[in-house]
Amino acid sequence: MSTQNDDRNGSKPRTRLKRRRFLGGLGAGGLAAAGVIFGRTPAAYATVSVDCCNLCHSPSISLNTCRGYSSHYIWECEQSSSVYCLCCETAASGCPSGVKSAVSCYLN
Amino acid sequence: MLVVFAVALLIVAAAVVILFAMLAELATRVPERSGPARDPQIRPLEEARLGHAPTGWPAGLPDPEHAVLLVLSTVCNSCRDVAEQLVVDPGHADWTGMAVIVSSASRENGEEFIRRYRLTGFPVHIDAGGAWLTEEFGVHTSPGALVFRSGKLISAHVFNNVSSLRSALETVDYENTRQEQRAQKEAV
Repeated sequence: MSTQNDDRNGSKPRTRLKRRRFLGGLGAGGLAAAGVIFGRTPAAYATVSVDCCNLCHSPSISLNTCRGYSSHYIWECEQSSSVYCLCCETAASGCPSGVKSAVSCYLN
Repeated sequence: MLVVFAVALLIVAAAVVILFAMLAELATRVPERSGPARDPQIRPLEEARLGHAPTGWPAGLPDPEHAVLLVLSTVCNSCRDVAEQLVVDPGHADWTGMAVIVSSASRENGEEFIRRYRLTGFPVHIDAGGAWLTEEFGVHTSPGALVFRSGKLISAHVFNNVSSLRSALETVDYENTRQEQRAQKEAV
């Protein structure tokens, strides 16, 4: 026998409300978890390979220009037994968009 | 029934999200192989100041009486493969007297390199800007190996294959020890 408080499906409005809140909570929890997993913004680090160099960005300046920056970082790597490359970056922490790179290879 | 279905759907969605996150994390931990592919040749590092006794020695490094410093850089492609060789392929955790020097533009970059390539199991020193290596030894090339005996830099090498390097150094050590023993015998 249905009562005044039952809807057509036979469930009470209070029960339906509880179910909605529960499902809503589950959904919000899932979204929050996804946000935590993918929402962390790790610092961007070097990802571009040019010869034997591993740089933040593709080379866009000359080696001399890079050396002209007061806080540049320059290091050498071995491309082959007879070829070495100088890898230069206008130094910074991580790989912010302003960092410029240069590569210059020479025969040893 | 609806609740059970909704919970099951949420669990499946969470599992897919976590799976993709794990795959992405795994992909970032696998270094790309590039450059001289584990060339077993060991070449002299011409720029190094052989015979120099360093004026400063970073804390945590092996005693320069008998030490090998492997010089890696964050801007060096093959250094990533060298790191992999040290850690797992084949792994050199048993190499006594060896330490890793990471040259990088900044301390943060060096720390990221150590973290990403799991070098925390070795004695490691970050040389921000490469200043210590350049000023003390005139070294600015990687991957490199600096060999110290009795507190002085006695040899420096460019390498890509850690096992070959280690083998070569152990052979030199063995030969030197034999020569010393022969010399001592003759003195007696």
